Amino acid sequence: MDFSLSDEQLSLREGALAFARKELADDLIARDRDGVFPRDLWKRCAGFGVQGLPFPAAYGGQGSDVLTTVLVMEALGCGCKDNGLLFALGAQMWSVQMPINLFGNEEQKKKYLPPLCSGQLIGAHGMSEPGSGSDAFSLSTTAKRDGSSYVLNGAKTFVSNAPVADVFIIFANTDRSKGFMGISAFILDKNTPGLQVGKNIGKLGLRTSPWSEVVMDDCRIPETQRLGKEGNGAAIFEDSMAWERSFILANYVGGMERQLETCINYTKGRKQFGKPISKFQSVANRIVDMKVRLETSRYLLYKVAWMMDRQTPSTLDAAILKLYLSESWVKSCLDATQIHGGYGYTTEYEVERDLRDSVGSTLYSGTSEMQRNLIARHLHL
Amino acid sequence: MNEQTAETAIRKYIVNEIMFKKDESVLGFEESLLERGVLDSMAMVELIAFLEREFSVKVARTDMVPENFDSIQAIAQFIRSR
Repeated sequence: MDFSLSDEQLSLREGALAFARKELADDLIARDRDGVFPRDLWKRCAGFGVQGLPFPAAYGGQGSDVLTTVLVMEALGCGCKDNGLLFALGAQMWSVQMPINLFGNEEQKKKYLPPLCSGQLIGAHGMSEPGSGSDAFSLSTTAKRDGSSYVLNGAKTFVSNAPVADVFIIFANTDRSKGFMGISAFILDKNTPGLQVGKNIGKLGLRTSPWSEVVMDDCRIPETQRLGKEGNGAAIFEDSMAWERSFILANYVGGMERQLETCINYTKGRKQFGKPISKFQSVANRIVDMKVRLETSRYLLYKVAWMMDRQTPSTLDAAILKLYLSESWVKSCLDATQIHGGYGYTTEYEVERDLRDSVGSTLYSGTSEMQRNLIARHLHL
Repeated sequence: MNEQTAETAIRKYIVNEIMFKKDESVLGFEESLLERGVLDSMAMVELIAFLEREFSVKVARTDMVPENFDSIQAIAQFIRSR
């Protein structure tokens, strides 16, 4: 494995960091409090080329490799404190654009990928239902064929980006007798009759990234809106989860770096008992642990990106990365709060928001429990 | 591997490693693996690893549809078509 970065990659990473610090900084405390999605920042990201990074130039993308893409996401996480915005970007890139890119036909790719890359459209991915989460393939939503159409009925929940989305990938049963291979994927436009998007569901963190229920009530779509073959939905979902599991947390590596710098500066500046608190071993040890988690997470991330670039994806390595990075992020957020003491508990210091944002990372894109299940299976346990 | 042994090898794997049974006659070549619930998403991952290893084929995500995996016969035909 060779993780040495090219001059072009280093330059792009530096550029992304500078872009994030300059263009993605706004009154985040107020937006987080009010749960406001930043559409203007979304468009700025598209202008920088973020949404198009790993997608072919023929469809409006940048044609970057996976490692370069995660380097940019990492830099954005370091320079931008809005974890909700970065989560929303990742959710669209890995679970909406990527399946359209890999499973869509030419017409679908030409119709959807350029406006998704340019920020003109926002995408959402609907799989979870009130009765099916980790057991994703036990879903209830149905898509009944009627001539050259499908009629969809059912409800999805926890659909990231849904309240602001223009296009949805929805998974539904087309033949329940075929079990998980009776599931198909569909692309729905927001103005499809019978498609209803619920109100934003309040949550602990990532408040600038809205999510909601999506209900299909006799929602009729032409068969040309099916993504992939009938019965291919489970594989499409598994594939998009492989991408999402691997890379949706890439920004948190940058987030850990940002947090580390903040904590080092704070502990060197704050004095207690006549000396900087960084000189107290119990404080320094926390910072050391943060550094170790940052570096180990970074190399796991680069390894999985490196493998993906060589078209040798590994479920085991992706599961280890997702589990380790998410839990490292939560621990580092707890450490940062503890290091800042009472100030870390205040909204003003912007440390508590990272902690609230971090908890979801052990839940979405497969819970820590599901990642452990995957790893256990690879160990033949 | 001739046609009959492809079916036989696939059945042996599914019966022994997925159904955890020894008597291979419990599963017919044309029987629906999906409707009988033999093949779920977890078992599919293991089956594909077996097929790729045993028959030196690459199974793409786009290949994972009922017409290729609903029975031992369908799987064998899919393998032969690669």
